[in-house]
Amino acid sequence: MNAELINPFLASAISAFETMLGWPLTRGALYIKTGSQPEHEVSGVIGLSGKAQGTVVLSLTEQAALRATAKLLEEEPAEIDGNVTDAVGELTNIIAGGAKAQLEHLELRVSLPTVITGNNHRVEFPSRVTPICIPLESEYGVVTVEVGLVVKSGDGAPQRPRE
Amino acid sequence: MPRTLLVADDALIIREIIKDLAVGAGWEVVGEASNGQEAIDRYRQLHPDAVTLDLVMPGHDGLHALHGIMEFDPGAKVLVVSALEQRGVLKDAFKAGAADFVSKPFDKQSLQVSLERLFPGAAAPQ
Repeated sequence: MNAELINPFLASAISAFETMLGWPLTRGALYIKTGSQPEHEVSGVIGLSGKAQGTVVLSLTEQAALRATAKLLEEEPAEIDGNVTDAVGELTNIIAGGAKAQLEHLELRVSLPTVITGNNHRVEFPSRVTPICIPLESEYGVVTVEVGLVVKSGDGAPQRPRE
Repeated sequence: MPRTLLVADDALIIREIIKDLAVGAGWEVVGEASNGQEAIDRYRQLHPDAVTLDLVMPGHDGLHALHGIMEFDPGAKVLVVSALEQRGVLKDAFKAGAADFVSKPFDKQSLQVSLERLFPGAAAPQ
């Protein structure tokens, strides 16, 4: 996927964590998701549609999800509960919304977030999509942003962007 | 008497963050709404001193709420707290009478400052 599509999600994620949580994130090396890599324990998933179609996933370790919720609500959850899934869903929403603003030409619409929890869960992307993973180091562990976005061609058919 | 606030956002956790912050700054949160129509209905019912309003909500959105609230009370103090997804929508919000705008993601201090700015020259609510 080209930089024009991935950078807005990267910038938006860094901004969301820095502003909402006060967590500086350090970007690791991008990689293509092959399906064999497990997610962390909590994943927020949002669908994107418009002149491009795809999915953005924010995946956090349990520890990072608990700490993020504690920071937002100023009370420490003991385990993954509704507050944690709400927090991860909203962070995913803010990341998708921020990227959408920078990709105005794609006229993206953002779905409501879904949050998946559990060890070894996987979020699968459609086979025609090449999802790119952005690992971001935080003091509470790695936070991963995965983006699979296919720009539609002029006739409305999805077209994979150059990689 | 503390100033009263209505908090409208579809995300429960954002409502909780705003409520905690507002209460800590001396406001009384008198109501919540999770969509645009509910925000109008709650405003009419509660007559709060100010509203924080998300623009992107399912069903009737924040712009719908803003128009409805300003029609009912042209002097309403509405602080838009929303992702800056489309510049056009923000322009529409100011045109419709929004007093100020805080972009998501927000830090707590900037939201607090914006709430205080709704009543310039006045002491912070007690």
